[in-house]
Amino acid sequence: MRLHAICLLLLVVLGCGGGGGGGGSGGSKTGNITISGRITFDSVPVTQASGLDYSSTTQKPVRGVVVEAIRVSDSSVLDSSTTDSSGNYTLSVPENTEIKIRVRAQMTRSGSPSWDISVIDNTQGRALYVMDSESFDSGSSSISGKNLNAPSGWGGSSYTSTRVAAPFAILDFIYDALQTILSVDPDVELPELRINWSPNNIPSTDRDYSTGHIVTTHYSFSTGEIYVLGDEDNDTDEYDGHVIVHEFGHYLVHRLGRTDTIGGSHTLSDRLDPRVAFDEGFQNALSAIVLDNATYIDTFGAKQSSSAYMDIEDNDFYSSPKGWYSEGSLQSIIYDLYDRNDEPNIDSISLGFAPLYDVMINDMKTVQSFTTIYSFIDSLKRRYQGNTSVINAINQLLQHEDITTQAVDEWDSTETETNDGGNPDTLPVYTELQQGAPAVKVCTSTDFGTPNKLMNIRYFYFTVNTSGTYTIRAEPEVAQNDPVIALYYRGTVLASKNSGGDGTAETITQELSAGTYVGEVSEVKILNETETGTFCFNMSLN
Amino acid sequence: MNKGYIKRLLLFISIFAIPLVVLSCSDSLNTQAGSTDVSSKPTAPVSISYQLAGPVKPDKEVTITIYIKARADIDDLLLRLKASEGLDITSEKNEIYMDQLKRNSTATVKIKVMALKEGHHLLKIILTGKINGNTIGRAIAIPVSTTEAPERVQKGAGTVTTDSEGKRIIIMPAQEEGD
Repeated sequence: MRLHAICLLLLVVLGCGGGGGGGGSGGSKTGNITISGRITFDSVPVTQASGLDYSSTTQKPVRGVVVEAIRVSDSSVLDSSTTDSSGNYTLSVPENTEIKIRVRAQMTRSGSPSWDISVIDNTQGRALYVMDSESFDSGSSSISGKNLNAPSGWGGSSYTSTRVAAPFAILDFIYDALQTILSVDPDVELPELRINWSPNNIPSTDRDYSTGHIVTTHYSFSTGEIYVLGDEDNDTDEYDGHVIVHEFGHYLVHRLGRTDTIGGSHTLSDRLDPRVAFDEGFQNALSAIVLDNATYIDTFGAKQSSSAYMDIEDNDFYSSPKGWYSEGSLQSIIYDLYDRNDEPNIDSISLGFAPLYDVMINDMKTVQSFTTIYSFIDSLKRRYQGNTSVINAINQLLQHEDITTQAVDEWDSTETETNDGGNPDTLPVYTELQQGAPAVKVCTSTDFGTPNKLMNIRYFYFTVNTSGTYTIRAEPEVAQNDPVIALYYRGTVLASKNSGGDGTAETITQELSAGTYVGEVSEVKILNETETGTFCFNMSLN
Repeated sequence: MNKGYIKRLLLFISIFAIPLVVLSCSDSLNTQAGSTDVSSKPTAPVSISYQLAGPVKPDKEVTITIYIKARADIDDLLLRLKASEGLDITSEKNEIYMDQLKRNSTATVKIKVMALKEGHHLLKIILTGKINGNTIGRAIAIPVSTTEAPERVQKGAGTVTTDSEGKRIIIMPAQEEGD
């Protein structure tokens, strides 16, 4: 009897636990259980009047990021997944294992489409941001509702704990940008992108990424990466969606399309080098398109409670000049080409994003001139050749921004532009050189400031019908002038020259195939910002 | 040991007007004339530069001269000053108001600071103003490092380690239900 009792007891013990798991959905393979949950982050909204509104913080889903199950004992990855558009994830892990859930500040997809976008800390050896749960035992039953939130770190009047949300806030805006691109280019293959953010990233006067001296939020053409300010009570940008998407736009056009911008700082008040004006105007418009919000807001200041903002659509905002050199003009043109919000006598066109993207990413790669509003509009009009109502509507936008509607090509070769920004020497936009013809005077100037302003650099172009050796010459008009010249073919620099000093002509002698080429001429003193004034050169082609 | 020597400097650094010097001395290929390698976020039409009369030593007052150049007509210009921990602003005011600054004109402001200890300190300046009634703003951080400042050690937002593939990660704690 006693033996029977013992056997019975043993059977009961052995029959309990282990095996297929009671309750829950069970594991996806023998010995595994499923863990599922939702990943969120503290989203702090921006306001037009008073910076970040921490009191209106909501928890938004962390979308499209990598989630891992980590075995605590050896830090190995047991399973990996990607959150869906609601922030949900599911992972399969062995039973009865000490694990933790890790959310990487990384969105990655291979194949077509593809991307690999992550947020790293440039002041901590470029470490990738990850958010970890506490360790826990996976047990023998599936676990649902393993929800994790990335907190903002805000303690009511300052940041009092780790700003976990920041990298995920940045990725949230990038996710929106990705969806916008995928809606028009479903097979896009984006190059790797690293976005650098740190609370140590300050608006310094020098640049040293390893110490967080990033000057301002920007895209670097040399590293191909974005750098975002995180300086509490001074300037933080992780919640400023328009700022994030603006920089993403620079990456997109630079890595996927083509831009001839010379970069540098820019404001709506400036009369800019036309390449800068166009690139910056396009990215401002892109931010409004992606976020479906034409009010661009940049928060800063004590407790992040100040806002600077601009209305992308309304170019009568601010004291922005109008013209082909104005970031304000070009952002409103691009946005008005896109949006459905028609304005009487100004905007009667709603092209959507697809044609703008196609022109920017595809057509502009092969334009012969520089990437300016002229080459963009020329390419766009070619796509709608014969469509009178679209062409007229485009012209209406140009006219409102005081840009010629009569340009016959990307060069405005018949010189129809009359808006000279206040200096008649600004025009023509491109000076045509003809082989063997008398030299043509081209003037550069600091009238509109430096270093990337209108007239700091002037453009010329020419066409050769046969292959051969050609010489472009820039002769200083007076002995004090010192020219720099550069020659390009469809965005690629072929040669540049500045080997002489004041009063010395510069020449580029180059073997060229038949085709059309574009070039720049500028004055050394303007580029070095050592003098102000007007500096003219006589340009010739032989 | 980072001996941040601050000699008498004349730093007319226009933060967002970085000198563009890309020149070629031969027929070799070069980048675009006058280009920088960055495209930044839109900024306010005002340049800020400074001159620090050093050297900076603990408990010794130094003067920082701020030059504010307007690139448009700006009304209600206000400078707010904030020092990082370890630095004191010894000037009378932490807020300096200027009624208006006309386009292409420059305002000069002198600020006195004192480092309380060796280190790498920052004087943060937040400038706001209005153009056509719309707010503009610019923030900068001026480094004020003492001559005997130790090597800079910066803390990130989390704990730096490596993952199972040996790649550097910075771990931040999640907030879990029930926390």
